[in-house]
Amino acid sequence: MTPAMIPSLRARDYLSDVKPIWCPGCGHFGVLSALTKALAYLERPKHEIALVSGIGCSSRLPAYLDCYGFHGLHGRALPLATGLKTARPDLTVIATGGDGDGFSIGGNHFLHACRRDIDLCYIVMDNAVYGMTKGQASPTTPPDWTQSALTPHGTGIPAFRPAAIALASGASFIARGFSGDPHGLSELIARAILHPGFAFVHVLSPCRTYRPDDQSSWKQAVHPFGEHLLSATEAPANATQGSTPALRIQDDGLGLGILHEVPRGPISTNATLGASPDHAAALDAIEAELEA
Amino acid sequence: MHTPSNAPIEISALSAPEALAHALELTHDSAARYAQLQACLEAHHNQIAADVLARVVELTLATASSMPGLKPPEQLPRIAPWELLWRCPDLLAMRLGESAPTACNHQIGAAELLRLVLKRERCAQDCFTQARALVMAPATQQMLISIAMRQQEQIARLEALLASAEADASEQPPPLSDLDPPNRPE
Repeated sequence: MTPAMIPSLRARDYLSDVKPIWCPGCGHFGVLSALTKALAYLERPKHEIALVSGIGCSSRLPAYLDCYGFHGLHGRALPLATGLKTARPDLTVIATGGDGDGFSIGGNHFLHACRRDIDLCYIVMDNAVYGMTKGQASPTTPPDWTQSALTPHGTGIPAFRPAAIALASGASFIARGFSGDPHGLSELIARAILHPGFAFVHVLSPCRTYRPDDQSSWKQAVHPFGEHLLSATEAPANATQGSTPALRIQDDGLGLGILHEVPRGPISTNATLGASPDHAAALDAIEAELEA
Repeated sequence: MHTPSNAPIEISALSAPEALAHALELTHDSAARYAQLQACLEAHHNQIAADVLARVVELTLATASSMPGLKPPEQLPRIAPWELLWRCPDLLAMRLGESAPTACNHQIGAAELLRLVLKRERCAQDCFTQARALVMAPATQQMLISIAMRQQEQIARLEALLASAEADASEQPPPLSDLDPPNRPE
């Protein structure tokens, strides 16, 4: 432990006056707590932070922070965040949302945000259910979940595997946290914010209203993720094409920690665009046109 | 920026100011959690439980103010959230098992709510006691003993509140028809 001075902003200073209306016991409270702790630890000024979300219970989160926020269209948090980061590379841009918003309605955007590796932090609060619309199966719902009236026999469809898909799509930072451990989650979020590229934080965030039985076991089931996932470059020399299902074998979906972290690839960074005279001139021209 | 690690923090080398900083962080964290739940229950029209939590927040903040050798925050060591005592592997497992709001719901009654609060507070007490057994420096040991005493006083006050709530025959749960929000499953 390295003693240092207490920062001027505390976690509670990042909260807005808007009170969350999430259900009592909702996992998203832990994510909100972790995010404010991380921002306070990083000492990010509030006016340099922008939160962008789509639609859903978890997408309410930007309203609860005293930073810039944009509550966008369903599934479109990442395009909005991408545009914002492109225009304002100086901002810390954080996109938040849920599993339905991010992996179904916004699934296409998720793949390409990973591939583009833009300097964003994307926090997905995964409770494997559509809570706001009263409990339907989402992309991460197990195929045998029968508690929804829409799918009384289960979906029968294998669940979406966010971490593996992010890895396959090119994300340079992938972590998984648990909302029941907000202190540990705060470290993952802080690391994700500092990562210069697309940082995906997959958070297991139980829904107390629609998944009270099966997700209450998460707190006993989660465990530290001991080793990084195998990526193409890290695979053992004797690995063959046929052995790539190692991803599925190694990740049981409950391992917590940083699953994958590599330097961002050789692409032009948005940070350089902000300093470009051409870019600044283009922005001035757009602003002038808007004002006219 | 601290590097992520699953390694336990070195409790044995904890100094007295660090122990105090940990205790204050943990206590303020509890108060923030209770305040958050209070606002949540108010939003869900459970004023009885919200009023109980408002009192718990007062008590918790008073406990923080009564910590031995209290200093202004700027004079205390800074503790990263992920390096708090409750991040110790054994203590973390206990915390996840005990203090997670497994039974909290929008219709929770005062007594049930206080039992949940007491679980968390007793967990904090265990945390301080276990840390006391691990530290080496006498000054830190004395600090943790004093902190544990304050925590015990907090628990005693909450137990008195619980006894009062259990004895209060007028306590009624919120009407079952109040489901807006949260929504009822289809």
